[in-house]
Amino acid sequence: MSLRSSRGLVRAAINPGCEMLAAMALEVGDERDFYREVTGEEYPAEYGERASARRRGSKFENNNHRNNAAPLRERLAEHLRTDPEKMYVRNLADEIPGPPDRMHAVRLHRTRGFLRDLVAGRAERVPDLVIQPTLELPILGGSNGSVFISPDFAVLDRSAGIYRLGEEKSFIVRRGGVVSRSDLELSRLQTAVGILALRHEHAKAGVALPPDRTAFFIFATPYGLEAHRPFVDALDAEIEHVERAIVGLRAAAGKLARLRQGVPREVSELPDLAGEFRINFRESCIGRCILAPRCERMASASASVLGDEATDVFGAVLPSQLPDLIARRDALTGAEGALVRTIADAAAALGLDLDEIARLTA
Amino acid sequence: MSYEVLARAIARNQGRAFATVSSFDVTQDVGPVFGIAPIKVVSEEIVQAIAFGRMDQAPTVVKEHQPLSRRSAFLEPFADALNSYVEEAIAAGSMRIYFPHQPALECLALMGERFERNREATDTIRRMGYHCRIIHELAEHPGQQAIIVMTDVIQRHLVTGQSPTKDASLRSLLVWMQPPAGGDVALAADAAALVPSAAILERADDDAVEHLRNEMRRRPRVADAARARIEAIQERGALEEWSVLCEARTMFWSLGLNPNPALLTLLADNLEWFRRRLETPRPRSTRAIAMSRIFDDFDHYQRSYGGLKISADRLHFERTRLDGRGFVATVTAKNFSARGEKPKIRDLSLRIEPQPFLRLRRGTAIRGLASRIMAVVRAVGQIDENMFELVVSVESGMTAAQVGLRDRWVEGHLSDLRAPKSAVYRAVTARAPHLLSDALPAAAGALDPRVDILARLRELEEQR
Repeated sequence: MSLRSSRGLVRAAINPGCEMLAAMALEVGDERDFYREVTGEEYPAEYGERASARRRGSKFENNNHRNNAAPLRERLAEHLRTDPEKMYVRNLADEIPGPPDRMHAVRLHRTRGFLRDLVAGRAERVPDLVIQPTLELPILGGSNGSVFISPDFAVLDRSAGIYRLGEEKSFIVRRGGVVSRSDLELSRLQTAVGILALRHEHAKAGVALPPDRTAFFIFATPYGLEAHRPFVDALDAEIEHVERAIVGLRAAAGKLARLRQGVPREVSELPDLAGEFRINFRESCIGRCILAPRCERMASASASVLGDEATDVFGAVLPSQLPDLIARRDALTGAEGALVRTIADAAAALGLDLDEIARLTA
Repeated sequence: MSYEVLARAIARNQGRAFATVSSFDVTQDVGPVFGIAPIKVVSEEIVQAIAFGRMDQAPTVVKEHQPLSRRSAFLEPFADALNSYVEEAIAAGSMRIYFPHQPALECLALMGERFERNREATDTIRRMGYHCRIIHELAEHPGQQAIIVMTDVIQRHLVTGQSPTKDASLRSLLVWMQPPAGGDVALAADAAALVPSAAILERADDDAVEHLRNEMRRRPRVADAARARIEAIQERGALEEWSVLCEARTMFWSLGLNPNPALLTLLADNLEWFRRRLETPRPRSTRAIAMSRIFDDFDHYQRSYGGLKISADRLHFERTRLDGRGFVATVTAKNFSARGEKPKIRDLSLRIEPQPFLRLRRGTAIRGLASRIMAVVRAVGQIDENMFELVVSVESGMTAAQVGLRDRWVEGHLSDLRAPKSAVYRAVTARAPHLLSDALPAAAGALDPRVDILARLRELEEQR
């Protein structure tokens, strides 16, 4: 059993109740191939980051990292109340070039070296700013059971004696400090994975840990690629979500192992077993999970296609059952009776009575 | 359960959008209206093309093949048209600007931030920047009537049979408003949503433009041809957005809901606010007093808008009634003291028609929607499980207060409290400016921290 990437864990954290998503986080490489194998169709919607969006992101990061990361140092030093000129920078992206997923081992080794120096009190060797460190977060145990994550940077908070993570995103901060909430959701979850991984690395190195659940976020100003002053955000909720997702991943790994017992691997790949995994279709799946169109089709009779609130209200009752429930309303008790009373109140707010609702939903 | 969930179930079953209100919550168009449909560079939030113009005419399209070059000359025609429209419309007492969706409005807001005080830009573009900024500020006012964002306004009037997340796509909303004959509306809506409704080009077009921009850099010989192709793609994208905007506007006004002419007062209020901003340009407020005034404005607009909607929309009143903040009642007794007699009594007894519960208590202000009586609750009595009785003290509308009057009543008053609040701010600013500004107070002898405050207090007490 191995883990594909931290991206899968982030997605699983958005909907920790979905077994299918957890199994996908464990095994799916090319999502469009997986979609085709499961559904027999090509994925119909836009997939992946656009070239233009990617270009801005990398331009923003390159801009922050120029001249020994001078713009980033300046912004962070304002916050940490240190002298930016005295900050010692190690840019692992330059030192070990290449995509992070191929350079994990070397970068991880160097990152751990910094932490060991920190514990040993060799302050002069400990960088204040590490660009693209690599961290390990064990999930399943075994040699391939970890995710490796490369946050944009880690900055040493000398007053606390720990590294704190940071993300650089080219989202624009409007006057008053507004960044779109939806833009931030994935970044926050990704950073939460990083915080858990850093906690593991700190513990491994023997750093005495204060309970830090915060991270730096560096966004762009509206004027070109200039970095805005950093925001420090507490990520308690996101960390909780990632921890729940890790539990889900472990359960999915166990289930996969059980399903494959005594079955040849060529007929027990994940697409072959997709029907065995429970789905939990939520609004958050739309546009985020490649299987959302399939799950929505599978749930088309249920209330979940009407949104999360409808899922919570209707529970196991299908909207098509409403006329029948309304016809038997006097005899209903328990959850069904409560649902009809709730529907009567909602109907009144629409200026309708229950008989009209029965007619309109028949 | 919100009524919207049930309405979604109905819409799903009926195969078309379901109206959740009985009247429009925006006034009909008055005078010429202006439309803006921008196309931005993905993630850059920089505009690369805009289709704009009077919505009864063919649009004009401006575009810049290299938007990252920071050139702004291509915006001159747009700036000219917007500046003229805004200034003429405000002078004529009517202004309405349509946007297809929130990303289009956000795009304009960022143009405001970038150009309003940009020394490299021309006066026309700086003026446009200022207009863009105050258009965005006005759009944030609750219930404002001048700036229409189609996705938002449609969602305030109807729900679809899909999840709220999918309603963010204007194209998808339009399919639910006018479903295809004989087809599965949910599938058709999903297919429509494959084209983004977010002021960006379609994926294939975006990739093609990116490729052509690289070609221009690498092969100067083909630069002119590549530029022409980029501009053609940009123009097509902007015109498609414009066309969806026009279609949305037409479909929205064809919903067949009741008009609400009372909202014209709110429109007049919005335009007056805008006119003052045009006459006296001011930066975005950041100081405490100015921010308080903005919140007071918001509070006022929110109450006016809510009040005007409740009066005109029976469903809105019904929701207020079910929430316990509105009721139907008849005046059963009247106890008014004679003119000049003390104490002055202006009491009415109200018998409330059965309703599940009431959220009123002593001291709550209420008003009659038809009678326009304003009163304050003096006592609440419960006759049986669903029957309540009130004694209220009338503050205005005495002549309408007659025994037998049956009216719809709601919590809250519509008084404009901005002027008295403003007087309070003036008084506070005069007496304690240091509380509301960034400047520290000048050290006065009595406030010198080196003074022994206890000794000073004793001294003052002895003097008294």
